[in-house]
Amino acid sequence: MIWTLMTIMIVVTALASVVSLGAPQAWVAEWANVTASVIDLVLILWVLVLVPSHGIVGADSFLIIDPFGVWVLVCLGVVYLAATVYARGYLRGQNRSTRSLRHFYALFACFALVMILTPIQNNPGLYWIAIDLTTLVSALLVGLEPHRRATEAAWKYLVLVAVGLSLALIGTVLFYFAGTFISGQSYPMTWQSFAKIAPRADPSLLLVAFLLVLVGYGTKVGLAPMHTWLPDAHSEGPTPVSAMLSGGLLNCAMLGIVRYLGIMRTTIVGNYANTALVVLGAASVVVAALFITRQRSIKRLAAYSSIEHMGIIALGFGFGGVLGTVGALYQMLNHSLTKSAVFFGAGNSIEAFGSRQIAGIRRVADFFPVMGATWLAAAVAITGAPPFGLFLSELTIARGGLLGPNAWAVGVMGVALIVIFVGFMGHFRRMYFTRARRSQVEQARRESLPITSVAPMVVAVTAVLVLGVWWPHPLWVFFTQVASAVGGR
Amino acid sequence: MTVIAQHPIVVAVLSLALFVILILSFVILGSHWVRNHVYAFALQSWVIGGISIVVAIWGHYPLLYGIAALTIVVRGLVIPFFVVRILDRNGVGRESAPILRSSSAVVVGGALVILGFVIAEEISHQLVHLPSLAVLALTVLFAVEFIAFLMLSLRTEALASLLALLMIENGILAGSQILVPGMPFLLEIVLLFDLLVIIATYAVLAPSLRTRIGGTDVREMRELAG
Repeated sequence: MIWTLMTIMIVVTALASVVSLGAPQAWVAEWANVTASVIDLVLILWVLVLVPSHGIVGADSFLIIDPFGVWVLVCLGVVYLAATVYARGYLRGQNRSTRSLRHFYALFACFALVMILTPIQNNPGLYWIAIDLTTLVSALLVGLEPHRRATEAAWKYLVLVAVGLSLALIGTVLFYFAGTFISGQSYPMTWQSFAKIAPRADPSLLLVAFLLVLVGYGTKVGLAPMHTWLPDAHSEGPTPVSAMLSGGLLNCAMLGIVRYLGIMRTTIVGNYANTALVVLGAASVVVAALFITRQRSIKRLAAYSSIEHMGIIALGFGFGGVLGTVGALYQMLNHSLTKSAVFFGAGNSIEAFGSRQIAGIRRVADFFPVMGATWLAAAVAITGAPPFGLFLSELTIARGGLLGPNAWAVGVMGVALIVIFVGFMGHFRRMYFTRARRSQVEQARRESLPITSVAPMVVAVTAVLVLGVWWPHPLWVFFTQVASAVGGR
Repeated sequence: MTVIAQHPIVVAVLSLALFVILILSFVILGSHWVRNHVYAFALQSWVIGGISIVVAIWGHYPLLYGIAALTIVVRGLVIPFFVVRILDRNGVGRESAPILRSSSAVVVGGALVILGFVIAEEISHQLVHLPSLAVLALTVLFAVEFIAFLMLSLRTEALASLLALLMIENGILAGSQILVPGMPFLLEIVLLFDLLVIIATYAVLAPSLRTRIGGTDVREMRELAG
């Protein structure tokens, strides 16, 4: 049953891409994507209910459907739906040609398809390829935005992530190499076989392999100091792509790191692997805090927030245990929802005020009351303030960290979060309460936002609010299943 | 690994092939003519194909014949063909203003080979059964990676950066053929596909680079910062 659902999901998304490419009118491509995203989300939620705690392996051991992978798919499904609904009004407002829209939607569905395929790869090599393909497809999407900065961002993204992923590939080869001393020259390359050989393999070789994998996939996740491509690519691409890159793709890459970490935890160097991830997580939170406070561009502000969120998720998984892992998983969904809303708000404001600079956006709530209120709520949520879901997940991660050997990182995280809160709110205070210039007033008065540009924000922020006051018990139970598989301790 | 290592002639042939791959990396590093990079990359791919055939014969890995054929056809012929076409279409010839002179770049590259050797030796010390051929394979794997990184930081032409990316995968493939010849066949095939997609992505982005940035010089890309 689960495999049937997955097959339908893959076929529907692939069809959306093909239909979009050959669509005679732009609305056909729009609806193909919206329909595919609705079907995908329904099927993913169905798989979420059905998936057994130990996961299932199929397609001659090439594919795996386990709770962790399905959870990454849930985050992706939510963002894909929100982004496709938002894209309709956003792209129409830019007066793009039908050809340009067809290309955009075909690539967008293709991007979603590659991301759906990523978490279900059971072969670490094929997982690497899936991640690499996401880079190539999304670099094209970023480059589609018709200005010079987007092309620059797409190029830097392509080169820097390709370099990082080459290190991950060497790490994968070395992991396999470590197993040849135990299982012989040829053995299946699967997560299970890696887990089987790890306790008996040479720990120092495994540690070298893991560090290469961590730096490689860490580049894709945007962990500092390998994060330099992320603010460019996430801020310069079309806003629906920014949401997908941030809310969907980063989780897909984090999954790889955590799968390797789960394997490393069965070895005697597991603690070193934990600490390495915690150090990168803490560095990311600190770097994000520093750049958020001095940021001038609204979308770069949201992009640095993604680095912060990934840093916190890395801390959660690095702390390990039930609390750390459960908190990190909850943070993934909260991040996907909140970041989508913040990017959508940024996209709306850029279109309305004609400026990407924070200084060019003024009195948002005066001109757009519903969107303005929702965006402000999303900004409060994104900093991890109560009563939103990110507060709960970050608190859980901090509690998990205090129980382990890397408690120092909780202190770093706490200080950085305060700086981020102050920085974020300072920027939003200026955008909401500073007097607007006459030109800004005239520009904003001419604009009106379609319902598709506001509704996804309202739904996402409402969901994060609900997740902040009510953590569904079945979700907690589901997370503990993942924690028992990869959480260690 | 042990089967191959027991034949001194095979070890000598494979060692020679690895040295050739390393030297070709220096050719790419030392030359500022992008067309030379393409030819050296193609030759590197042919040598890797040769390595695959030798390992297939002496290690009894019949699937490696397929990898050898694919490597020679895709890496050695198809990719260079497409890259040369892109070169001709874009009129890219020589790096206009290289950041570092060829001689200096080669010296730095030499230091990076030593670094690769030190890392390989360190890994070898941890694994007591590691034969010298494996150490050499690890050295080449790391050294080609480092030289490609150096190229990425020194080259100003976007296509030269792209060739550096392709060279990284050549280094990894050359090393992995000797270290893990039993690695799944499917993975190798998809890696080849991946290279083609990288080229296709560049081909799509190249017109945007020319029209919006005014050329394919990466030093023009300085607008995004902070």
